[in-house]
Amino acid sequence: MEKRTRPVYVFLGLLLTLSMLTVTGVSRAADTVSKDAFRRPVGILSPSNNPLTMEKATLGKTLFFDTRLSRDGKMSCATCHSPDHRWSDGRIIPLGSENVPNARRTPTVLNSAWLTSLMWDGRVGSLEAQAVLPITTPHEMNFDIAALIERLQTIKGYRQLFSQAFGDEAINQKRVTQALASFQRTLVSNAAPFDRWIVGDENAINESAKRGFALFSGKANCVACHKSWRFTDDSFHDIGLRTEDIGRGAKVPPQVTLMQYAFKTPSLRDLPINGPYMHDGSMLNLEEVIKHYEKGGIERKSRSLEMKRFELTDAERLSLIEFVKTLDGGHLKVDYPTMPE
Amino acid sequence: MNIEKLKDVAMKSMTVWSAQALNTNSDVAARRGNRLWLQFWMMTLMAPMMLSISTIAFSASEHEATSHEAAEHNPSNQNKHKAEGTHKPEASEKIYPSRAAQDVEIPLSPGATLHKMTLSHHELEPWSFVPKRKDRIEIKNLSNITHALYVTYPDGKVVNLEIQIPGDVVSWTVPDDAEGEYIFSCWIHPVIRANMTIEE
Repeated sequence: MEKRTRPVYVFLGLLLTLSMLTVTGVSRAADTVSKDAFRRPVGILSPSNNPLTMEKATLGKTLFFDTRLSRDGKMSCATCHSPDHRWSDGRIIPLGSENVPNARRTPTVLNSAWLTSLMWDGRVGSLEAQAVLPITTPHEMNFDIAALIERLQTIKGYRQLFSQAFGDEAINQKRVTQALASFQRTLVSNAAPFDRWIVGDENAINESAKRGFALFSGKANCVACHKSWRFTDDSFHDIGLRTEDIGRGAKVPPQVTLMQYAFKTPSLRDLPINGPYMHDGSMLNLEEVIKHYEKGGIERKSRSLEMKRFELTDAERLSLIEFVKTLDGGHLKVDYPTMPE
Repeated sequence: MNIEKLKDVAMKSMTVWSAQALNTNSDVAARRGNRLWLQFWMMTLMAPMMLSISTIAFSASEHEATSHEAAEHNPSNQNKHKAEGTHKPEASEKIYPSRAAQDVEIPLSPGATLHKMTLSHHELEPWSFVPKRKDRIEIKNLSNITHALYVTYPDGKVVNLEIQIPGDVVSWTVPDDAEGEYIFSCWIHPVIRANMTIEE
């Protein structure tokens, strides 16, 4: 009997070990796959028609901070996209837009190298195309490109910078926008505590934040739209906000119902912890934001199919907020340029 | 392995074990009991392995997790659920019933060819056919997200192909006088773009 049963016990023992290893392997595999989706990229994207160079970025930084790009010489790109405010302006609506109907909050230009559509309604397809708009918008920099070029040509320092960037001193709209775009592409979030956790440092974020990540990827399903390392799907969703602004709906045919009241999913990296949030700056803290999602927003035909009600306890809500805080890599170090004369 | 079948096998062993434990012949019962205990422990140990393997197949990523929901939009599933009286339509089905569910069929023009393309998460998969005038092109949404494709003609005209929920198929017929580059894009995901050249 003993000789007959011993091999049986060995076999059972092997089966038990194999089962345990399989279950462990699955849980690890699931964990790794989820985290991998949020890994930071190695390099910075740039288009083939405007490859990123140090000289173009340097010229672009100078232009970005130069108030002479506005008609009255008082406003630069950095006025609304300030390094001190995570490359936005910290305002509910931008300076000068107080009388503009449906004014929208200034989005950040951080990580814009990866954007495939720009602005809350996606009206622009590239940084180069977008650069012209604030310069020529009446309530923003209120200038025209021809006059701007004429002004820049009178500044010897700019002729030298353009020569270094493009090989000769010619100044034109294309080069101005390419330089501005090049500088903006260099604005990439610092590695945040979350990023260190993703690559294996279990002490990088606390247990509450880890629970928050589980909620983010699970019950709260934030990941449905806030995906990838930038925590945005670069898509447009109506999240059921009470607003008169139809967002992307104004840029597409009305029969594309899902795009009515839809706005681009913003990144969750480097958020100003006290807001404002949403396209209209209507929410001032993350708790308010999360509660909005829990309720599901206004029910209408255009509401995103991802907007589904869920419930969180107070503790879970705090964990989710703790997690979002781990996406903050801190202020970028900026060496302010000397304005050319 | 089908999870339901696995459960069937496991439960059958338990039932057999329960019935045979009532056998009053002690020697036979003892031998059967040992065998049954062996069968029981083997099933107990194998079950977690098989369930785990099934779990891997059904995913850890959010794409695969929600593609399970995408299966809910499959018309054959809808009919099955309706027959069972258990189907609760998702919001998307109320607003955007699939063309197949609407029984919409448009015959091909004489001499025309039907081509098929697929749309994945963020791109139209490359195609190998050469489209001609009057051909019909069907595009199936294999992703787990909703798209809204449109075609921009060389002269700037835009033709909408309508909202396309996961699993849905939209179609576009090449115009009789088509020539040049036709651009497929998505209103919801501007990153989606594919150029199709039609030659005479």
